Amino acid sequence: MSHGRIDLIESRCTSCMICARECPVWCIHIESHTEVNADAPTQQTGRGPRSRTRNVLDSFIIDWSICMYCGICVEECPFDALEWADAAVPSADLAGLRHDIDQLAPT
Amino acid sequence: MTPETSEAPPTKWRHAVTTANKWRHAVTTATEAGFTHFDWLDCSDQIGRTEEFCLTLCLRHGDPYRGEETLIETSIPRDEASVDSLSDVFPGITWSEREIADLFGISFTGGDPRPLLLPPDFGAHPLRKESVAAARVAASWPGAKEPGDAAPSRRRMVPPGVPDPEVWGARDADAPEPDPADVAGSAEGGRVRRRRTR
Repeated sequence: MSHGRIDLIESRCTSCMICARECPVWCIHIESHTEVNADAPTQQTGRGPRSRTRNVLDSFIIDWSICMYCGICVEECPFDALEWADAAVPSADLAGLRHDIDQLAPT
Repeated sequence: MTPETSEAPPTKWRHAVTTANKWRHAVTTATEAGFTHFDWLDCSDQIGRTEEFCLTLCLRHGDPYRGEETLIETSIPRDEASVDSLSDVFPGITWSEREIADLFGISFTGGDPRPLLLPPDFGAHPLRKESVAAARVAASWPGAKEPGDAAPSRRRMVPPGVPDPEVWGARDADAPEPDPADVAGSAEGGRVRRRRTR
């Protein structure tokens, strides 16, 4: 397999920020928010019941004009949400090299 | 001379540690013992452990089928970073020495003094650990954000390579130059205690 690009497996990503912090060239930008998980039972804490929350990924951008294809993000992701893929990243301009979820996680 | 099997013999390592003033002597002793092939020369900054650089030379035995390599290591003090050049022993080592002179600011006595990678007026040695990537201090770090929309933690995340502003940057202009070990220590990254603002 060639190291042409890195794909995101969106369902595995927990927005934990580890890849963005490990990236040596600072090319990963993550936006996320917290939602109450209605399915999970409430947690009993010393201050009373607290509903469970989870992080929801809003945007996951890899800037391919900065990425040096080192693969540290792929190695570091504890949930295997990033993986190498074959196809290279084509673009005519710099703005087109900022890929968000819809391009990183093709369905 | 071809060996009977196609498998290369396992590499046998030797390891020698020497002092900076015996550097040249240690290397010529190794070449006389048959380690005539220069493989690589490397350096690491030991700041935080000792006030020294560790210079490592790898030599291979002239007979490749013996599969022997030797590592010769020496410590060079930070305040007087200078060691004998080996460019007359191995002409090809000049490239490595010039590179290390650029990146670590170690001068090789008797070697080629011209810079190799950096412009002559660069004014810093980027692989010294107290060397600050100044552009990163000004740039916003994507990892500073916490997961979800959580409030910033009391122990904020800082990127590696960007020192504490009180040590480097926004410090008192009249204060003396910061200690290299303090700059390197404050630029390790990770969680740091959020400083109380006055």
